[in-house]
Amino acid sequence: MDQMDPFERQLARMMRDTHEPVSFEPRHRERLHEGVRARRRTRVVRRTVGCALAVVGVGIGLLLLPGGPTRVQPAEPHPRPVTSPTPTRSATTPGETPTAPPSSAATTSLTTPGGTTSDTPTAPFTTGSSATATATTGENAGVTAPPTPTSTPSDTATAQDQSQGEPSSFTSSLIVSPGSGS
Amino acid sequence: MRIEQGQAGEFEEFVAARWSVLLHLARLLVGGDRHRAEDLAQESLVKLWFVWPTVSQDAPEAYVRKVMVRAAARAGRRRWWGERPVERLPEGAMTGDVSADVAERSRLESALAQLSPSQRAAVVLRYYQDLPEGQVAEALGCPVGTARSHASRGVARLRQILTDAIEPTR
Repeated sequence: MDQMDPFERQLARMMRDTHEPVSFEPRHRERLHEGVRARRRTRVVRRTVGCALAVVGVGIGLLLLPGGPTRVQPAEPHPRPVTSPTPTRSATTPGETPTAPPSSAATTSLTTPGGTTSDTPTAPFTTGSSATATATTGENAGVTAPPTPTSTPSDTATAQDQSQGEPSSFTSSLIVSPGSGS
Repeated sequence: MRIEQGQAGEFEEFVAARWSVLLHLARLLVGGDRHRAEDLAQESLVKLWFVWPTVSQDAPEAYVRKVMVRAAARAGRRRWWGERPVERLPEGAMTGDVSADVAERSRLESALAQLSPSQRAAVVLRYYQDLPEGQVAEALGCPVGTARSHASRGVARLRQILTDAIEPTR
């Protein structure tokens, strides 16, 4: 402000000199209070309208949602047990069985006493792997052989019948040979 | 935000103490209309009331000034604010029967009224409030260069208008 020219100084002086003292009268105070009350009312109304609009919006959104309850359905059927395809392949191709070791589940199912009927669903399928087990242990298939004719379910039997056309007893005899060969 | 009784008393004291200055600032900002100036001052003080607990310890007058400047600029941008142009003024400043101060104020206010709202605000803040350019820019809500440009153009326009009214100082 130091570089003001005469006109600018005169302008500043005019602006200050034209200031006439005015007291803050009661009518000013009353008007100010009225303005505060009006603004407060406006804010309350605005907030209320905002809440109402929000509620209406949420309600409309809920109405537009799909009405039926959502049901969770599996996209695919349950996967079959891992051990199921193994004996079929091993039965069809006995020579490949030692190179592809069976899963541990199959092995454990074999180590259980073979005569029990609780292992019957897996018994015909895991006979191929039983050959592996017997090959390593050097035992014969006498443990696994007895349950297979009695406890083989019909579907596994038919599966093997389709692949080989032989009953499960014949399967066990086939499985023994690669183990003994190796 | 609720204002406690003590804070309300402080607010009343502040308004009573600064009312005259604020009203004169408002009058310069609107170009001389006393009623519009009162409306502007009242509106700004109402806004100050709702932020008083947070502003009172810092700089309440600066807050009011900023609100006032921006509200004046907004009102100036409106096309119509309740006035109609007429061919003859209903009341005019009579040179013979009014004091020199009133005549000078009338000249100043009529000259300010011919500026744009931004130019008027920049000139008033710079030459009446003695604010530096940075604070003028902050109050106007624009860059410093823009505020400087508003002030210089406003002064040039006022120089052109008032060149006959102001006697050159020697």
